[in-house]
Amino acid sequence: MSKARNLSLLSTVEAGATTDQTKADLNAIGVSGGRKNLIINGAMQVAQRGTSLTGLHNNTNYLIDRFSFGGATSSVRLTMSQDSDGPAGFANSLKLDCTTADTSIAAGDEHYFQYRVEGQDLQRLKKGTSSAESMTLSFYVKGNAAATYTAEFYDADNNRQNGQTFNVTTSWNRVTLTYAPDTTGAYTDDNTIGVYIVFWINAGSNHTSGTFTSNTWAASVTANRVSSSNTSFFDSTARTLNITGVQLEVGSTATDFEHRSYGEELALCQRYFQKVASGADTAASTLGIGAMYTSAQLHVVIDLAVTMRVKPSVTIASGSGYYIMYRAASSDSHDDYIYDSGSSASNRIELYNNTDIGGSAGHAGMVRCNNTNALITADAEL
Amino acid sequence: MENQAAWIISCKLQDSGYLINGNMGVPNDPANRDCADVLQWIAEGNTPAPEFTDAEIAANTQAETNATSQAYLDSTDWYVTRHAETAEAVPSDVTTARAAAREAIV
Repeated sequence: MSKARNLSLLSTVEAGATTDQTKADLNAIGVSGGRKNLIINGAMQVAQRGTSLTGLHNNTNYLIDRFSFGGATSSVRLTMSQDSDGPAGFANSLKLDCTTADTSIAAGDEHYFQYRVEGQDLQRLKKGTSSAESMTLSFYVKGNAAATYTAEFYDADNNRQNGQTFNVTTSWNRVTLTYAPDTTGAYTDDNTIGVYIVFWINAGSNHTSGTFTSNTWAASVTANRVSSSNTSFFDSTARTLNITGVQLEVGSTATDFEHRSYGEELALCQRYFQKVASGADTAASTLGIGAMYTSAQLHVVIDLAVTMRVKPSVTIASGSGYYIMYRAASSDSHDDYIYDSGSSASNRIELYNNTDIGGSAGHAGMVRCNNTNALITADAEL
Repeated sequence: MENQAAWIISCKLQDSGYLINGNMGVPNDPANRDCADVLQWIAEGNTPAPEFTDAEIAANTQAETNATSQAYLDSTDWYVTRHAETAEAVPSDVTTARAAAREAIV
């Protein structure tokens, strides 16, 4: 493509042209519009919680940041992991591996992995207005064998749904699904869930027995949510599914995946989950500066890496001498902390210990992890 | 439907929230998804346990006493060291208080 052609395209944009074809042309010359991808961690780079979870079959389980596995009922089990397999240009993927199969799926069975988006991040779609935009979901998938699954948008604010099926082969393939604009039901401009992007890998008749109408927005009906052609991921312990390069963008064209640096992705993920301190990552990882409120009560105030979506839940691993305070030329190990959620906020948390520490009121000191199993995490996921 | 509250095994009240499964502090904020799960768990007929049982209150009180007493002993050890090195007497009120501190530690 010549420079003259490039300049011509840019002039067209300056004149206000916004057609999808123009966007595609711009993408072809590398002018793709920054932050086009609504998905965080779509390349599955960030996995703060670990790299493998086994025995999954129900509840909501996070491993790779921002992507969760959920389900209900049945005896099936799978392992979810961060895998090094990926198409060219991708070093990681999310892998699901069936470990306990069930060829007799009950009506109420449901299993999926999903991604949740805040309503305030969806406003560019203009949903619920006469100028609502189409949107395109793209991703790379690979399985152990051919399969068909359903990718559904579930509008949590207005209880509406729109699903499409996609095919998986034994090679990495890029799937592109364009979803029609929806002029009904705007996403609330807030920090709660606007939409669930649900990748259905197993569903009983409660979800498949109705009329599945591909790429059509409608009020949610459970029986219509999943295609009857949906493969059961749990039909064999040989089943695997890898996915990466997940991108959601405005318009009807799937442009090249927007690669972001690890640091950028990590910071974006930390709005939803962050490791506050980890003895496994750094043996004497510091929590921060603590102070003795009384001779038997230590308080630690910790600035979070980024402001989180809401005031987080805080999980604290405890064990003999897991944490230690150095003050006044001596040290005092202790086992755990209590999260003072009333004094905490979305950008700062306060912890205290009043059970196994002693000292002089007013003394301050460095507070650190003192065991490889010491771990404090903050969670504000959707 | 997925039961969002099924992961909750135990729930205790805390000053400004809940302690879930013994290690997760959850703020009393429905926008927090864990809090939303706790509220659903309560709506299903469950009741959070009080923050502390009588035994835990007693244990915490004793732990605080132990820590306070040990801190006092630590802060007055120098009197004993000085007495050993110079024969200067430990003040009687300190001797009495140190004895009480030792007695209080369990």
